[in-house]
Amino acid sequence: MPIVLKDVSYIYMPGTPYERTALKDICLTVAEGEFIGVIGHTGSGKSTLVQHMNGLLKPTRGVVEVDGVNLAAKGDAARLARRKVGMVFQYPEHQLFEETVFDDVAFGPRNLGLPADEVEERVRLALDFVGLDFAAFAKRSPFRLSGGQMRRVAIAGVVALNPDYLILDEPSAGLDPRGRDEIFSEVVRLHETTGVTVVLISHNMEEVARLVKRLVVMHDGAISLDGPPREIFRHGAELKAAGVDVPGVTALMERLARRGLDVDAAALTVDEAAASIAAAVRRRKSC
Amino acid sequence: MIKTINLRHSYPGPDGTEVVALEDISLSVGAGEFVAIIGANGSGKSTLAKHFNALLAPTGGECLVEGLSTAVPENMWPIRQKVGMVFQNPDNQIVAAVVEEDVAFGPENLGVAPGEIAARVSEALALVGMESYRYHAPHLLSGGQKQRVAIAGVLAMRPKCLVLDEPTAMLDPQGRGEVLATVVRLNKDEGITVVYITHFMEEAVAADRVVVLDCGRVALTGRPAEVFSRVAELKALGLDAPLAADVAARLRAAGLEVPDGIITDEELAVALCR
Repeated sequence: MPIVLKDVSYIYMPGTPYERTALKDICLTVAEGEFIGVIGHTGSGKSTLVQHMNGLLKPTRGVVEVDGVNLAAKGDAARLARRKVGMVFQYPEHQLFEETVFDDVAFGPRNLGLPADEVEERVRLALDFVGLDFAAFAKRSPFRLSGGQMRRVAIAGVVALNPDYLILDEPSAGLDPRGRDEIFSEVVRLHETTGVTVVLISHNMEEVARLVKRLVVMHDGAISLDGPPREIFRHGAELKAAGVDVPGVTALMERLARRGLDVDAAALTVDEAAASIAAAVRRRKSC
Repeated sequence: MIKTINLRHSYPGPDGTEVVALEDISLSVGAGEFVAIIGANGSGKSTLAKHFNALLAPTGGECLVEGLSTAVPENMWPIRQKVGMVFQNPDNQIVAAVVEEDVAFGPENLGVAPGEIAARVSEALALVGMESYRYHAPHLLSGGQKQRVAIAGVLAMRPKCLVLDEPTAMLDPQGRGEVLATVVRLNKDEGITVVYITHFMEEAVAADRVVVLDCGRVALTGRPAEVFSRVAELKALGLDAPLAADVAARLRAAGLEVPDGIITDEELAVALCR
């Protein structure tokens, strides 16, 4: 079952001088098992959009359904539906608060009222998923870890809730290149092994281009493009209008193509780019 | 402008043993220079930056700002007037409810006369391209705009040197571009010395010189073209090379003739499309 947004509009601070329409008539379906990237300029409505997906914000107009249940409804069904969607906010490590890594990750499962042995099982699995060794980290203070490790503990806290849908808002912000690679590969592994649906907000175009199968571009509160990354990145003009940069690889290939080198502009990874450039240079030399 | 001599910084760890954050750092940043510092998380970049305006004092060696030792308490205020810091999170640096008041906060605390403060605020906002937001509320600005207001707040104190600790880490690509362009302009046009810490290699390319830290020591230093050509070494340190340098290295490995020192797309395009 999917997450469905039907004609969703959202207005911040209605009736005040600061009134601003953050979402305009959004129609979007996130199917089960998808891995979607959401990109857009700051203020384009990305975060507002995903905060509708687990009921943190209620649409001013329109309906959000998770597995067929309207999130804005009252009662147990809506509460359970909201619980299916786990949200990792920006800088989630700011939300760590417990004395040990174990207690921090266990906070969610304990609140669900699970028995102690199942809580521990969930914590083990969650830490394993984010690449932290249970024996080495469970008893440590989360505040004495590196930035990347703290980020992973925080993500584990959401994974431990066993969400059907996982939303990550800028999970790599502020991490060094190795930390970025690790976080992204862990998300991919989680997606591939558990089949969890992932919605990933990121400014890191290279990563988004490489990871996701479907990309949604937000611009001015509306969806301006929606499709596979390779197609999206061909729409240079629309992306520019949305204030979004094409990935570095795409920009490089376009620059080379403009200079008359016959390269494949659809290359997305550094390997593809290098291979395509090498082939183009060799072709030119042979003629 | 700034000179460190065998600088060491250590602190007691949780189990009582000594944790060494910086070891044997000898660097100098010349007046008017633009130096980028890169390194993995935990390599000591921020700790080093905090020595440059006496937020931290060395536990060994020396850090001198225009000849003043940061270890001497009386030097602290003169040093902080010479070296202004900008941090990662703009929301933590903004104190007032109106942009001009926020920028005026620094000079007010320095005891600058009111008429002079107004002039400095105008000048600082003009330098970062935010004049038209003078009467706006900072919390309703974009991240890049907030960060430029934070830079203006430091500029209003007329520092000779700006130390920026990952000023673009929380910004989107457009905000990053705005902040970097502002910093480059302050360096080139206003002659302000810049120490710029970043995880974005493409930003470090704009510097005159790059310093790479690894585990509290200087691992590499040199012009961007020199440092970023060493793709394999950078990757071993947990860093990336700029895309063009990475592609150039792969092309060389594939047997193509590509000149050394290529770090920008344009340089690569010129080399390949002769």
